[in-house]
Amino acid sequence: MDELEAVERLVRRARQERPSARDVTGAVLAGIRAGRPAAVLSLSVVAAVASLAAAVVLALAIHTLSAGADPQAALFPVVEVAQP
Amino acid sequence: MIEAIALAAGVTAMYNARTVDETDQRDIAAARSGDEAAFARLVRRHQAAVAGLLWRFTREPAQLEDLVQEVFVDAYFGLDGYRGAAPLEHWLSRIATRVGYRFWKKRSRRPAAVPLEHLDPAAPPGDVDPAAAGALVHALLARLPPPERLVLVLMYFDNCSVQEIAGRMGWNRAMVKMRAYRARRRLKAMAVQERLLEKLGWTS
Repeated sequence: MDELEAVERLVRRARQERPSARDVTGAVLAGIRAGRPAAVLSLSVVAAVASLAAAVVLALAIHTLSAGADPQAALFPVVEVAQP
Repeated sequence: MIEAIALAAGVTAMYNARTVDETDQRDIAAARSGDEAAFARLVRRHQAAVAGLLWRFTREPAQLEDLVQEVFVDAYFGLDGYRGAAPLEHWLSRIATRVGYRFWKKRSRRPAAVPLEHLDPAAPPGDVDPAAAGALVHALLARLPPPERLVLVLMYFDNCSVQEIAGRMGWNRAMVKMRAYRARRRLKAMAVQERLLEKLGWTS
């Protein structure tokens, strides 16, 4: 028998072990009433802030595109003046 | 005839293992609509199995209770994600594995002493006290990095295949195989270093 086989034999014995766990029903219900787990909450907050930031950037970009002057527009008045 | 009956019994057992228990189904539906008493019944029915799985992640009773509680709170808030394609205990064991793994990753890995003193060196391999064997295996596995430890725990105690581990953890199969190989190599080196066979009296 080698060492790994010995460990595997110990595992087979260990599988027969039954832990004595207490009833956690009350604690689970208290946890549920306390609200969502912190990790889930913080993920939701991050997602909401990121969505808001993306919406603001998109609105600013659309506004800039629609209101901003075309850099080539300055050339046209010159052409108009030159024609008459 | 006997073979046919045995085969039918086997198929029935397999079918039962793959379908959702009707009582669970009713309680899941009720819990989804906010019935706390129904969820409490689910907790009472499944907490022993979840504790059994998480016992491989910690052997401290207070931590074990916290982890079992965390599994059921996660399960409650994720209940809409349970599609009912497999028995509830399969779904809970996936959550429990992730909760246990997260617990390992949060804790710094400390080399624990391998508790050989509770083992009777005269006992043949088949007669070793299960609790002593469990404590010893736990201490050995605790020295592995969490990903490698998880692969061996699931293979040894949950009889998981490479594919099942990959599915449960979202890893690819090659990665699971590599981790299993490395874990076994490290485990053997540790057992040699601890002179495990000699201390157990299993040298022949």
